[in-house]
Amino acid sequence: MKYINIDKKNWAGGLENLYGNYRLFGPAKNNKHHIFKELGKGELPDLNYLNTLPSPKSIAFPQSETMFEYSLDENKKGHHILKEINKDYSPRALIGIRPCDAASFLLVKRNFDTPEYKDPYWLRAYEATIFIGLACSSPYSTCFCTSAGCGPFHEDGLDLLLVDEGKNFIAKILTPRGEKFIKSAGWETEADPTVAEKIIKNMKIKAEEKIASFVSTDQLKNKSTTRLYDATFWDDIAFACINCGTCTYVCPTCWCFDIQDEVSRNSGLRMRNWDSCMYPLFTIHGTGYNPRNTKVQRVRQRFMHKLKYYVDRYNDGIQCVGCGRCIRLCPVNIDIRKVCDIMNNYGSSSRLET
Amino acid sequence: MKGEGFEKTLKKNDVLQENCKICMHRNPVIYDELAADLLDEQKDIDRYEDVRKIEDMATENKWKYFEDLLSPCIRCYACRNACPLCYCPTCFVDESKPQWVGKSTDPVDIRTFHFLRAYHCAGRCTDCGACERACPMGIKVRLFTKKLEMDCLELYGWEAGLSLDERPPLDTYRPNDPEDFIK
Amino acid sequence: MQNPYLPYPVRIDEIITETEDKNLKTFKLVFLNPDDEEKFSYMPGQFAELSVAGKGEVPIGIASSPTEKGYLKFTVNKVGLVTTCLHSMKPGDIIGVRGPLGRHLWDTLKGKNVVIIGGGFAFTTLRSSIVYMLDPLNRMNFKDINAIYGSRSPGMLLYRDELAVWETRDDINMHITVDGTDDPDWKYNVGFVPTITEQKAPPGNSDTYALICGPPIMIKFTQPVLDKLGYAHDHIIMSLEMRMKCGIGICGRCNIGKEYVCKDGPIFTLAELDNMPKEY
Ligand SMILES: Cc1cc2nc3c(=O)[nH]c(=O)nc-3n(C[C@H](O)[C@H](O)[C@H](O)COP(=O)(O)OP(=O)(O)OC[C@H]3O[C@@H](n4cnc5c(N)ncnc54)[C@H](O)[C@@H]3O)c2cc1C
Ligand code: SF4
Ligand code: SF4
Ligand code: SF4
Ligand code: SF4
Ligand code: SF4
Ligand code: FES
Repeated sequence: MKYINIDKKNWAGGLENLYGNYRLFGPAKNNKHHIFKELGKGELPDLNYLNTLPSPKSIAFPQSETMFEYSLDENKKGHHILKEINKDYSPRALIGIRPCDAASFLLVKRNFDTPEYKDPYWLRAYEATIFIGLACSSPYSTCFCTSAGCGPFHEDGLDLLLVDEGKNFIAKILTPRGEKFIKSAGWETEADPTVAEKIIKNMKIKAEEKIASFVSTDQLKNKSTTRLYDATFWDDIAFACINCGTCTYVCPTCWCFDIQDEVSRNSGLRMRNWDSCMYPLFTIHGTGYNPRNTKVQRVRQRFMHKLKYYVDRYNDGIQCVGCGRCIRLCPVNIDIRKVCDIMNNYGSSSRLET
Repeated sequence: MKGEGFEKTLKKNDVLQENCKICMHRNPVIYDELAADLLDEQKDIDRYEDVRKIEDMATENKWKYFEDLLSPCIRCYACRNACPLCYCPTCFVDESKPQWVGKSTDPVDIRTFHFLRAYHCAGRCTDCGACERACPMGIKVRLFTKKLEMDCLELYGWEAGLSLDERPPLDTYRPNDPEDFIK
Repeated sequence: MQNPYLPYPVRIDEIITETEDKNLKTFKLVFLNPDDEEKFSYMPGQFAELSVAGKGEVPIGIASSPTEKGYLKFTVNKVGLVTTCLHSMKPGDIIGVRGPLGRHLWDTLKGKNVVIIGGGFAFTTLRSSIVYMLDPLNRMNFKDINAIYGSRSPGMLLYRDELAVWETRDDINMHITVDGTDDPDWKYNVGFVPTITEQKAPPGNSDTYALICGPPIMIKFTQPVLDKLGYAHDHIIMSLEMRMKCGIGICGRCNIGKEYVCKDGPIFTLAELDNMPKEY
């Protein structure tokens, strides 16, 4: 494993070198919170942050994205026929992404990149992106990544992991793409691998000790889907929910979208926009019949999808990386950690349940 | 307030919701039983300082102000869903026949939602602040409804939520209603 | 990378009004690029997204059979935005077709008795199945074929001319029924589909499969009849409807439990449905 020491004095210069070879994205302060945005020339990512309020999923899955364009003008050749649009899929670097969010891309890839169908919009953007992670030294109290399949120093999904050592970053090179990135920045000072390894290990242990909450997921797989679905606890869980959808919009692992046509005079676009299982419109039929007509059904869908249907479908992990955004931002404090434990423990006193 | 390695005393006014700070009805206006004693209502409060500040802006600045205000909006509709007076069976943004508003993050559609929602709430908004509390992006959603709430007070002497018997100003006609808009 | 969201352009070749209330029209579509027809290789029971530029897409079962070359047929009920626009279109207009979508179970049905039970306008993919099985090249791959199809009144039956022909053939037992009629010349059955099924359908056994498509109320009352006739739940095949967008299991909209109805369905055996949440 190769490690590079980046003196923070050389940070801006390196980014300057990268600019032009990559579109650079990084955290920046917007109002009171951080978001990921494209950095202009000379603009530095603000790495003094815990995590962005919205997740960085929009780098590959924008909230609104044009899929096709067409003309409705009968005098034009090819009118009413949908055409693909050229998009900028030049290399882009996501600088300072947190390990949980990087892991979310691998998780979401299962949905967008299937053996039968490939979602070209997501996949091209994903393939164009290089992930420069920033290890977490001071997690939120709502972070529970260590029990959700990743952790504050987790490396999966990253090309490079940056560890902030005060005066310098240690960069752990994880893929050839990461190596190329470091080279084109001109950061060359190699660190002694044994020393770097040791520093990172210690910092990692400290960071993990600060993670204060956990979920247990070990029993989810064994539970009967229909019994969990029919369980009586859903009314209580859903009681305060206002079906605002915030939890799904800010979640790095929620992937649902709607497809809509937008027309202006004689030209039109087919677009996709984020959608959420929290909204009644998500499932309503043209006839007005809605199989998920009540709030409790929709709340159940969200948690069942993340913690049971996903588990059943992929047989690996849960559809959550433990970033805690949904917990921090839910206006009525519905907490996935609690729900996960309720589901995981449901009926465990009864032997029938296994 | 105490935490790991720190202790801090906070002023109540620094942490109160904006609308609670300027609340003029700390006592319930309608109740069957009252659990505690009535409080003194706040006096000498300027409820509309922020609205007037915006009113005083030049048109371009006003526009810019609202554009900045709305730029983080992700159109989750948490503000609408949290609102106790948004009770339409189908919100105008959810209609598909006809579709009044586009569904993307186009700024025009986002503005349309907020402006129309504010107007729909005129005469009904009590400035309870539920919308602002719910917004995940920390947008001061009340700034839209508050102007209309102020107008209702100044034009019609109306404050929403004070009486069960009186009809709201926008669905009643009185000969002395101001009609400047017709001229 | 192939874009699975891009529809093939097609021209509306013919529009047939099917029912007396004029709410159901069959659209015969021809591919603008002959190569696309090649790529659109489908089996009965599958569906496609019909794309109307400016309005959107709707999932519609394919009513034609792969044995009918040169065109596709879809029978569309007028419901909302897109379907209303489709109903106002005319031959020559350009729309799009995306698919074929969904799975089929024809491997299971090979060499078996097939009982088709349909109600209302859900008969579209069942028509496709019948035409497919009756094709001279396919008929020997199936044993007895029974079909029960009913609607409210004679004027609400789809594909009336074809039904009349099937009624006279001896390689299919066709049972047409209506809920009621005052037509003195009506020469077929009168009664609800579950009742006629009880009277006409062969008893269930390991060699006999039932395919059901219809409104929820019909399915609800037919199921006990099939139980009584001895059909095992893995020998009852049903088609489900959910609101759909992508049609390829990506947009996340149409799930029942872990299954996406668009990709893992829309047809499921009753045995499969027994183990899924009742959320449809
Ligand atoms: C697998 C499958 C096969 C179908 N086959 C047929 C058929 O052969 N003939 C037929 O007439 N109808 C069929 N339907 C139902 C048909 O798709 C809906 O009636 C149609 O989508 C209504 O769209 P709209 O734009 O007119 O209505 P609106 O209510 O305006 O719908 C707007 C959007 O919502 C979605 N939507 C609304 N209702 C439904 C629904 N019930 N199912 C799926 N998506 C919906 C569509 O994406 C549509 O673009 C089928 C549905 C499915 C899932
Ligand atoms: S954020 Fe909270 S209130 Fe809003 S939909 Fe999610 S669980 Fe419900
Ligand atoms: S469900 Fe909540 S905690 Fe889990 S990934 Fe999504 S936002 Fe983060
Ligand atoms: S939880 Fe809901 S919005 Fe999120 S991916 Fe699952 S179905 Fe979609
Ligand atoms: S959840 Fe873990 S990886 Fe994500 S920000 Fe918190 S500590 Fe870092
Ligand atoms: S709650 Fe906030 S982000 Fe959501 S729609 Fe309202 S203003 Fe926009
Ligand atoms: S329609 Fe998109 S997942 Fe089924």
